[in-house]
Amino acid sequence: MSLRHQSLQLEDHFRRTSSHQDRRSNNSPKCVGIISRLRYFLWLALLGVVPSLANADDFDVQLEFLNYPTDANSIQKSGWERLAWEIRRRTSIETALTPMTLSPELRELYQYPFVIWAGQEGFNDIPPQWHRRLKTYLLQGGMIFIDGTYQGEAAKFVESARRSLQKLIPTTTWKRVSRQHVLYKSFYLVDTHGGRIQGKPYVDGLFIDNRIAALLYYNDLSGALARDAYGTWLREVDGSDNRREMAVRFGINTLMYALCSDYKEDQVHIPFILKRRQ
Amino acid sequence: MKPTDLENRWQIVFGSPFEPSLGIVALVILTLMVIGFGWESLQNSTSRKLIYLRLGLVAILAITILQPTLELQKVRRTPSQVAIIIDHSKSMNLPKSGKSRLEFTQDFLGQSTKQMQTLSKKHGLYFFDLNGPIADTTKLNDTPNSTNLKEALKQTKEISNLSNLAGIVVFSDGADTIFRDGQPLEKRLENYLEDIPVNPPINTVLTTTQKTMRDLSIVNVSAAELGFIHNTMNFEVEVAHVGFNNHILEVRLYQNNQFISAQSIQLDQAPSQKLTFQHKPEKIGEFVYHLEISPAPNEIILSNNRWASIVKIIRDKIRVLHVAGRPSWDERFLRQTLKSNTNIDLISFFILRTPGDHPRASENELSLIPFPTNKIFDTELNSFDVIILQNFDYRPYRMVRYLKNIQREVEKGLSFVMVGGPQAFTLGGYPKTPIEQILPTQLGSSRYQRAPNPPKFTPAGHQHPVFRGSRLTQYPSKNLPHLSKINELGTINSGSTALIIVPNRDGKELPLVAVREYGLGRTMSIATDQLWRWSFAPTSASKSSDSIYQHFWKNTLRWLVRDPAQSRIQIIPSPRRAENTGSINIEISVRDRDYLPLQKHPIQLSLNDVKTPNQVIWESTLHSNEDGVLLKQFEDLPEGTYQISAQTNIPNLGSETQSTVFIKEENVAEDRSLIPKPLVLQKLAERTGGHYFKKPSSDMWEQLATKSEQVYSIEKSQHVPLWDNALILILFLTLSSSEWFLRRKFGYV
Repeated sequence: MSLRHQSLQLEDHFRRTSSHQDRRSNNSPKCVGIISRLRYFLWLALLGVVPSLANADDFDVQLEFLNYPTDANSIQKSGWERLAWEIRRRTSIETALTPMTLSPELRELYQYPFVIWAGQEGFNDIPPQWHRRLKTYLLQGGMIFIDGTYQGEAAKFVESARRSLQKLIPTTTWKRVSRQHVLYKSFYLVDTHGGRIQGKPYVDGLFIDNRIAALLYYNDLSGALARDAYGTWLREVDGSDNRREMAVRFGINTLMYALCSDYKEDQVHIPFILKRRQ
Repeated sequence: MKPTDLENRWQIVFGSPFEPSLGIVALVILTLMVIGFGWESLQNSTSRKLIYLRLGLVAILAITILQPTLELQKVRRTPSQVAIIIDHSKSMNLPKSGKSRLEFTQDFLGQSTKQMQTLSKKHGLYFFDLNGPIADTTKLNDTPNSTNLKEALKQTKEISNLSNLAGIVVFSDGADTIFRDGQPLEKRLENYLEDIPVNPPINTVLTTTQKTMRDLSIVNVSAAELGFIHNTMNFEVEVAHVGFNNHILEVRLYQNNQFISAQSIQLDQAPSQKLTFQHKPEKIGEFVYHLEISPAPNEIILSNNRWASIVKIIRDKIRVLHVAGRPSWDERFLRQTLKSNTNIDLISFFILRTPGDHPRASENELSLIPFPTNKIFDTELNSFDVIILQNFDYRPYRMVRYLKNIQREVEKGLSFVMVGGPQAFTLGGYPKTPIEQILPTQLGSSRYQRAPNPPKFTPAGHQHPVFRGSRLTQYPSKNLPHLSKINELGTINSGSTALIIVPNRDGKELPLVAVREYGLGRTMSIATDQLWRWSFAPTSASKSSDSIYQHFWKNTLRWLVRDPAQSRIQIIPSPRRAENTGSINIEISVRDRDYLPLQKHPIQLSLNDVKTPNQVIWESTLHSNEDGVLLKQFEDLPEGTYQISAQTNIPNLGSETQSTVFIKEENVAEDRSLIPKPLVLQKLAERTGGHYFKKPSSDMWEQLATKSEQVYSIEKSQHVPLWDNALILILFLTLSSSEWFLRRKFGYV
């Protein structure tokens, strides 16, 4: 086991136990001494990982939520936190482990070429002050992942997000992403999407210049990955637990696509991929 | 016909400030009211009298309102005019042996004096050629560069004294230069005639016959202005002929003066035939491509047997190797930019998983492939034009032995870019490797730190081709987009240039973007992985679709592969293809190693004909001005294709030479449209209701279609007011007092 892997595992452990500790400390606030507090920092400093002191700029990727009509809920945040962790553990992408939320004015939008839009309720249209920024963002290379739940009341959010982005870029339309698309081979060779529910067996993309500028996921990706502070899954999945692993893989592929675009469609990869697909 | 003597005319005009029609309407309403109110009383004779009196008063009121005035005029009847236009273009001077079309026309007009005198009794006759009015049919203006019948007709109508144009007579061969010989006329004629007014009638007279004419010409060559080295280019040649049925024709292609290939074609009944030449250029630069056909016996003109085109040959696709140490936004935006450039053949390798990563899947479930270091950094290294190592640490891949290969290839002409990040420069393990020797900067510390200040341009950065034309250079110097993290590089190496620096807190300038000429290659260091943020940098009102980031990389690649358009000597002829112009202006700009203007710098210029490259027509050593620019004008160069070369010594780099070509030609359009086109004349006449005459004849004058309208010109006029006099006043007083008297008498008051 490499040093980096060890450090990541320890970090994961730290995150879980620190939350746990926090809960305990809430019950008995005076019992935590300075040595006890510093002990983890010392460990992490030794391993070169001090997440609490790290800045978003220190990582190649910082996941960010769009905050409309409401902020992502705790389950959605937890799910993406888990995915960020898995990305960091499984790939060479340096991802910040804690997703953040963009300001309501989207001032810092251009700093983050990949943002997540997770909501729970429908809305008429995006705020007018978002229009120009969001349009520039999508046209200039930004990507939005709509983490949707195509079920019940939450389905209204999916439809609202879909409609408002279509209105923003009327020159293009949402299209079903083909299984031959590089999204299904950007890191893992996958042909399913996983997710907590079985909303739709496909994803839709808003294509700009052959690039997916917005991706619409119907199966509640974050719901499948959310855990509590003890590591217990927060939501049951609709089907086998393998849907969780598939959700991780599809999530990793999506971020890999956002970062490498169609790299895996280069000629040099094709024979390898074809052989493995067989 | 002369204007008539003075005649008397009169008319009544109304001086009312109101519209006469409004006044009349108002009076009618008033009258109806007067009659209406007294309608029942009309049976009564007394009431009738009163109403009549009141109507009389209304009539006087009407006269006062409308203010009728008698206008007495002295007028002169002006006769209508007929304009006679003589086409005196170059084609009308054919054939050169014997009587030309123009001479034939002039002779005919000379013999038609009597008929024209008869015509002048009805219409004033005015003479024009294609350039404007003429006093005499034998004294024409200068021969125009092209035949533009439409413009001549428009000009004729605009002459102010032809206010009553009854008709136009055009003597022409119909060879308007808008129609090239051999090309189908019908469809183009529809558009041509569309905006010609139907009045006045245009009578057209064809002044030649085709029987005695023989000619071969290249009427069109379709070729791209830009070609790629080693890639096939097509030259589609259209050859027109008249009088050469079954003739076997040889067409030859030359690059500058060097013969390339020839093709033969048997001419048939069709007026024009096409053939295609294919050519793979072997050199980069600007070339004149000539297409030529051999002269045939009794050709009417030979200058149209040749066609010249300037084609710029640029390098084939740029082959770029892009290696990224791990996925990042910088890598993604760079790849997107490189992929969007159709001139780039991109080979990418990104490290998606390090030995420490655990994907929790078997190899067969992953799309990852081995990193073929030996193949790309050894076997195929010399096939690349540019290598970009982006945030890449070579050590885990046992590549130390390949770094020497990169240095060797850069010496031979490969270009190399290192893009920063936490795995680049010192952090990538490059100190004391061959890569350190080729980079523009010392590798510096192992810090990958927060940028202490916003970056700023150096003087060289503003002028360097990499940033020339970039919207970034228009930013106020302290407002360049802030980059969050940078590699702390050392000082600039000798012979290198920093283009953008980041001032450190201690006043030290950290090179952010620096360039270097190393051997035959060029290198660049970019000490950050944050340049992608320029993709979203605010843009100006410019319509360019490229972001600052895309513009930067496009220019960078052009500079790295030594695009001639970014060389330190630039020669711009204006115009590059000079047709019928007296002079050609050449602008030469020279720049030093850092692309700053070389002021008062000697430049050796030479001019030669492309056909005789070793024979110098003109040469001189001149000096650039304060802006590093030299302007040279060539006046009255004879027709031909020329190459202008500039040579100068660039300090610290050595001698550099650049050359370009330009073409001087005359009457090109006329030479491609010599064959008479009766259909043009026929359709022109048909559209306007005029007559088309297949040849000039003495009885044509009687058959000319004209419109007969006369125009009067007022020489003198006098106004006599009919309302402003005593009679009207007396009438008014009489009628009003009578009405009052009667009302009193009959007891209505």
